[in-house]
Amino acid sequence: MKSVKEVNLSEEIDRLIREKRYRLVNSVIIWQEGEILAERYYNGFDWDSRNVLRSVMKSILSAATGIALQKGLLPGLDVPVSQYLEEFREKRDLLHPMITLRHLLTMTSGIYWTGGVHYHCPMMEQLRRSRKWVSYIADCPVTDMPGTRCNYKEFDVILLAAALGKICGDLYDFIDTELYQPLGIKSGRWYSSPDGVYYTVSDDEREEAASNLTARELLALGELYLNRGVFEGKRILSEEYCELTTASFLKKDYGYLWWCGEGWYAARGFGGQRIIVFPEKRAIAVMQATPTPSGRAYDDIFSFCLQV
Amino acid sequence: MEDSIKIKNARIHNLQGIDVTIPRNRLTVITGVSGSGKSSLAFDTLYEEGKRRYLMFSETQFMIDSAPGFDGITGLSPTVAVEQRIIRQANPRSTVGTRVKLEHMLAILYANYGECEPEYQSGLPMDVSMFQRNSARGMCVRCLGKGVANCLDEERLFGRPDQKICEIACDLGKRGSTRNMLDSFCREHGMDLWQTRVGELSGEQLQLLKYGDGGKSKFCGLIPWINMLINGAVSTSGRLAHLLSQAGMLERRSCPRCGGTGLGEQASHTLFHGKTITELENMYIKDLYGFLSQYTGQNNILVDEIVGKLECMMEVGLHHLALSRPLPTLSGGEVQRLFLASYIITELDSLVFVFDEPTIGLHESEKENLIRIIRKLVEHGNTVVAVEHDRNFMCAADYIIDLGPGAGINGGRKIFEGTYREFTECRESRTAVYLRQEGGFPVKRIFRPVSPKKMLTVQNASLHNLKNVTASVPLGVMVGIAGVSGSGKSSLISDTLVPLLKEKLKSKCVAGEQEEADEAKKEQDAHSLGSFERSGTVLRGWEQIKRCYIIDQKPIGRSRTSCPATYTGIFDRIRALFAEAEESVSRGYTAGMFTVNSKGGCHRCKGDGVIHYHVGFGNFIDIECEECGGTGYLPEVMEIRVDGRNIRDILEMSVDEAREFFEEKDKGVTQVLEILQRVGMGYIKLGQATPTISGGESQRIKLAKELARGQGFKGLSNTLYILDEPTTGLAFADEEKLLTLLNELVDCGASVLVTEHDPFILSNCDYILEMGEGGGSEGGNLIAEGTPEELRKNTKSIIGRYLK
Repeated sequence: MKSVKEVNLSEEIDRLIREKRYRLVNSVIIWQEGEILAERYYNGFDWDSRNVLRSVMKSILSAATGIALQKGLLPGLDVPVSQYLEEFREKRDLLHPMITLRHLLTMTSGIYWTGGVHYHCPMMEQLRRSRKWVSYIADCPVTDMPGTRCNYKEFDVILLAAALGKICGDLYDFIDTELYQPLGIKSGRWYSSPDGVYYTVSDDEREEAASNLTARELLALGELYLNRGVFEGKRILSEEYCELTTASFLKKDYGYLWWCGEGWYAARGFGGQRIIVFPEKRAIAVMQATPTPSGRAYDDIFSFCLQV
Repeated sequence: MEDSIKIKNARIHNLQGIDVTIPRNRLTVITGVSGSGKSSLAFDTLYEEGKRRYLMFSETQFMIDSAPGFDGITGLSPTVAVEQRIIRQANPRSTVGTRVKLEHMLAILYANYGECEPEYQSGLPMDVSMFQRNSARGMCVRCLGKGVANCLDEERLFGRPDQKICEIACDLGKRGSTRNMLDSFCREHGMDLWQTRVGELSGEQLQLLKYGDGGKSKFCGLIPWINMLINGAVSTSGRLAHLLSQAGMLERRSCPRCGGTGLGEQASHTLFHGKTITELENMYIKDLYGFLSQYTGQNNILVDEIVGKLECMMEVGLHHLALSRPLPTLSGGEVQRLFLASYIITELDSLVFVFDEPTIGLHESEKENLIRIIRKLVEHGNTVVAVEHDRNFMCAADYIIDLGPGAGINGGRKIFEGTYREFTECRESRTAVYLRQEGGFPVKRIFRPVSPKKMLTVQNASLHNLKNVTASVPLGVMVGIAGVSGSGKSSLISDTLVPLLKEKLKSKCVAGEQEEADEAKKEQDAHSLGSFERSGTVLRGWEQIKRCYIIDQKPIGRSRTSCPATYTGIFDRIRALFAEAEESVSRGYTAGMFTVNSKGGCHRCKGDGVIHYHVGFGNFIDIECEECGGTGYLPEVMEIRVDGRNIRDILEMSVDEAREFFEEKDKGVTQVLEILQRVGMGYIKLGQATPTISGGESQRIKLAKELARGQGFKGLSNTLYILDEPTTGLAFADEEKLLTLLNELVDCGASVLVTEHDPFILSNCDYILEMGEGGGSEGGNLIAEGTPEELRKNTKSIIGRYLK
């Protein structure tokens, strides 16, 4: 096997993307031990170009929850959601009192959800047309006992964002001051629902645009986690929280709004958005792309980089 | 093309090698007494072969017949059967609208032309699936499209402070797996399952009891546990759900989010000329037609198309149904006409249609219309063959084939083939006798007196389309309920009177085993009782009734292998008889050896006698089991004989034959067989499989069973029999037998209540209640009552002019 020095990593990445015809990939960064090994941009993108986050936003909300804990705004993760969301105090479903923040972070609330055949989220259609998102979700039946089944869904994340809104005041302002500014991230104010829930995952570019980040900003988020909550000498998240949330919970490959596997954990968004952290190798890989269902295939670029 | 279909040497079932010629592009009626072989000829020979040839030609699948039941058929075209039985495999979610694709068309209409009310307008476009409750995009998220939601009442479950923990939720903690789990859970948290009262618990303890301790112990908390139990996650018996709903702790009610529409918020508030899609689906087809007709011819081809389809449905007499009506709640006749409507809509010609009693469930005035439609199919170039008992239908036929003369082994011969006029002259036919009206049906002229003191009265009935009806059923006589389809006969009798009687009489009201096990039906009844309370519907005079038998047309028995012998209970006696045979005793065979469900069944086919192969597209072929040669029994069992007959021979006997055979051998069996003969079931085989028994036959077997189980004809005073169209599928001769039997019941002191269309039966009732005057929104009133004589003179009565 060739050593990193012998291969020109940038050229190899270019070659792979050309050969595989990954025309919608916009940026790739490979970072190791404080050094950028490769930083590639395509389709007219540059270091200051912004790209959609999609579900990477979920992992950012996980970080925000950790900060709220760190700052003592939250007594713990096992607080019932009903403490913050009055719709869940009405017992529209008798199981509502059982749902906690931990369940929301781990996709185990038990609320009914069907993702559709290719995760096209049919259940989001009516939600997007309603004015009261939280109330809408509170109407959905709880079909699994909370904490017993991990079912990847948007509802849990929307509820988390709504609860954080009650815990931290304006959620965007909180994230901006407590997370983005220390990390040097510049973002516009996030899109919020008619009932004031900050939630940026959308098919509509106009709703997403304000929350877009650059590849280097994603890299900074990766560094924060690789360094177990410390960025440029400042502690933002507790070490335990980083450990806990990037390890598997009920499902082998999913933690607390972070994906995980053997030797890596990752923030992933639809269509090729990636922050992948390899803690043992002390390496981080970042990718951004214009969303398309074939984005899943792009991960082979990283398997290649890992080999060299 | 040949001008006729020729069948040579048909010999399936009891057909005795007959040759028949059926003219093409004509309406042919096959008649004969029940069991004479009409269905064997029309369905098992003509239809099966037509279907087989077509499927082979189109290469969609292959089929093999184990043994052809004929020598040859010429002149055949693709064949379509319009049967009544299809209903039994219908998806519980399918409705009239989904069946004819109108639900989908309405969704398209709303997606394109609907206007959302401003306060629900989201600015995002609505697509077709958002108007479909079976789609994840369209369904209401609370009830997931069902329109009803199960609501547990926490207050009622835990509210009583004096109840002990073990008593919560109808003594849930006293039983089964709950007891052990809850017991150790209580001890762990300082409570006593058997002693501690809810009122003594601290707030924290109550919370623990309700929602568990977060996984520290095995028990998850009562609320999630009850939730799992009633949703069938642990067992499917539904027992707890039943107990809780009886106790008012669980309520199944219209979904609070969508109000029963099953659709999302925007879809529920999208209007087409002021109406929502759900309102349209709940309208009677006739009213829906009237509503949409206003908007035809305005360049909206969708509306034109929908109206066209609705017109077809009205033509076949389905004006009284709503598109939202679930398919499983339709009568056999309605299902048949629904299928007929979809064939008319497609306008195909040169097909062969085979109908099974198409006039079933139709009022005399509606029959004329149906005959007209079927004639239209013929005019379009189709060949129609119908098995039918109705006189007017026979009159309208171009050609008649009569089979007989009797049933079972006494039938299966061709008695007549020719025109209706020639047929009435036929001396050999048992059907023609009645057509000539010589000697035929005795029509009652003297009616039993009605006593105003002996009345069973339903007051203020307003279920479905009933318009606050108060109806008094005289007791001790034979009463008929008449009315056109959808006029409210069933709403008044099956859906109001019967649930009320069940509630009052409890176990003294017998509705058959099938019903007892039907949780959905019970739930529905419980639901109805609640609505009676609200609408002030009450029953008076029920104290005069000691026993009540409700005899419906649902299939007898639950398993594949049930048959008249097992259902009536005589099979137990017969098996015992075989087990007592000398050879059985020496071999050590017990009664269990003589049933295919137990030790005696063939191991390969599990007692079916045939092996079932799936050949794709929901079609099966049956091949006779090689191991048992089609008997379903182990070969050694077949060696045991009683009076020269083995067990299979017995099951192949008709009731008539068996009655003679058992005469000297077993009194109990003979008695039951006698009653079966008296209800006109002499022709049926003891071992005839349930799926091949018609609704009418099932009903008469049930009647026989109840008669046999009771004291026969003794002590019938204060007994009420409720029958729903008992003449379904009966030839004139059998109808007369049944009528005699019903009259005998009344003579012995019983009361009989029959819902009927048949003018002969109605003319022979002592008293008639007539609902009407139209169907659906135009029905729901009691329009006339009195003796048949009085109704004939009553200008308000519609049935009056058809009475004899």
